[in-house]
Amino acid sequence: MTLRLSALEVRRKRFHLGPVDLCVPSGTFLSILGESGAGKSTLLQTLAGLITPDAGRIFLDGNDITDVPPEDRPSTFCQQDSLLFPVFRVIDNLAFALVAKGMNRNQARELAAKRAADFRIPRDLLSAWAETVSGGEARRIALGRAFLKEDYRAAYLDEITSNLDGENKRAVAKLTLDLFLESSSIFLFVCHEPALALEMASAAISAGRHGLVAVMKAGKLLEMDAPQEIYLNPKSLYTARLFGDVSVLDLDGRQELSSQIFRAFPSPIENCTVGVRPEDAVFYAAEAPDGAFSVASRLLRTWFVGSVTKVEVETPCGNLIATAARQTNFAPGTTGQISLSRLLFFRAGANR
Amino acid sequence: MMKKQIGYSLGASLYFVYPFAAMGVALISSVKRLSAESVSLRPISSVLLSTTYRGIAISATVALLAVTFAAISLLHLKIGRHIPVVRMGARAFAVSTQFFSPLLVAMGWIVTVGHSRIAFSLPAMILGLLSLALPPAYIVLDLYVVGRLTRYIEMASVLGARPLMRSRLALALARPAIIGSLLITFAWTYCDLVVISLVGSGNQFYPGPLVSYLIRQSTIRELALFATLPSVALALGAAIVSQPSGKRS
Repeated sequence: MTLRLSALEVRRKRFHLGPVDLCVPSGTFLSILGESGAGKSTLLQTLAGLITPDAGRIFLDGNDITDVPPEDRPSTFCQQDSLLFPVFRVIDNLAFALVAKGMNRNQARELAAKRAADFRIPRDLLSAWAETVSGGEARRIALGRAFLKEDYRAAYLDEITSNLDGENKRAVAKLTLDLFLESSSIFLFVCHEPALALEMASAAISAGRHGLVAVMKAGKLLEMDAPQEIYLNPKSLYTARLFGDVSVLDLDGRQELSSQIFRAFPSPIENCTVGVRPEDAVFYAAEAPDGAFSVASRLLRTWFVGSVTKVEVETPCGNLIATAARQTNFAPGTTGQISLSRLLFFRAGANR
Repeated sequence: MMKKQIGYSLGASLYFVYPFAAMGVALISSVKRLSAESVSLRPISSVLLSTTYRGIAISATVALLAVTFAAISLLHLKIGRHIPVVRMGARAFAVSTQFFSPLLVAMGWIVTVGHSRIAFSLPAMILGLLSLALPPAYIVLDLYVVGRLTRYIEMASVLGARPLMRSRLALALARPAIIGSLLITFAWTYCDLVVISLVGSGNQFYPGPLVSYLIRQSTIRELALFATLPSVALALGAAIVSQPSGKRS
């Protein structure tokens, strides 16, 4: 079972998705990241059949489903706006796909009631009107409704964890992962949170399945890789920065420093831009530990972010965001050294 | 697909033909009333009064409009990516005709009666302003309903619902809006008729409850027709327009 997109394009007046070429193997959890307007939702809606592509084809299990109407596609869809039908009770929302499939309404209700616990929906909520449930409950009901469409082979989940508080977000993410592990289907999970995207895909890998992270920008699929690979070796500065701070080392006109850096960190790419993540650059008020590659620095400001203290320092290769021990409270102007443990290299032209 | 196109065209035609049909009915009513009151008529009124000409003119207008809007509807489906543009354009046209329908009817009345006195009494002005404000309210409601329904119906379709089940869901979801539109249209038509009667009567406010006046003039049937048509059209339009078109911007 494979989901394959071949030169898929959706053209609009002010937006152009694609061409997207993509091949997602069976049982893969694919997290899709990107800024607002990157085309993530458009891609999912096109796959679900709500938007007809202007060019390209969609294949699922080798079958061309490009022209198949949404109701006949072997896929399910859930989105940020839960869109529970307000004229129905919770139980009827859950049973909707079963009734649509032709099941008797009472049988569908019975089955939905039995499965409700799988979606962490309490029994006493089943008779409530859909409009009266809370945001977290609505999201779980929407997930239940989507996954009670039993014959799906691909699930498209569009920002289903957005606008939820921490506890509900974790609950919905956990539920999604459980549903993925119970099935052999392909899951496409769009989200705005890099940490969650990495977590979901890597959890799938930990469970012995495939996990990938894709990055979209301005309607294009920028890159797709395993979660660790995309974080540690992003192909562009844009992707790197999507996952957190990356400082770019200014090496122009600094031949000696530049050659020292490239001796310590051999670059696989010629004429590249060099970046560093805060966790790979540690500030020491005294000398950096022996053996570490370090450059002189002067502290500009510090801010505490919980797990570490972040610092901005001035160095011969420009200002960098780095980390310091959590308990430290250096005064601005403190001089010291920045120890660099890992650098990122980006091909020229892949930086934006 | 063909069934959907036909259904859509019928719904859209009904929706868009309504203002013209309403104007036609109001004009006929005016002419009939004139005839009953034996008012001396100008030649144009004679033409309007001629059953043959009137029948042909009204039928031809309605048929022409039906065909025009059916064509627009088909075009609407054909060039799906421009749906918002076509839809908004068609609606703007409908709104403008609805805006001017009381004015047109009043003008028709003035021409028919043969005088140009227009009432500027306070009640007429208030009702006239209300009459102008209600059609946009109705259209806003319609846009809201169709916009909101579209997303629900799309969700239903990805959950496997077939067109019949989706239409039933659309009607259930649109029920409050249909009732709302019914009330708005009743109020709007009531205001229109009152304004027309005031204008037509030359600054003379009819004594007694207006409703009894309207009943006496047999216009309550028209009122019911006016009020029901757009609601039915809204329901049909909501059920049909909100079906996933497969093309969306």
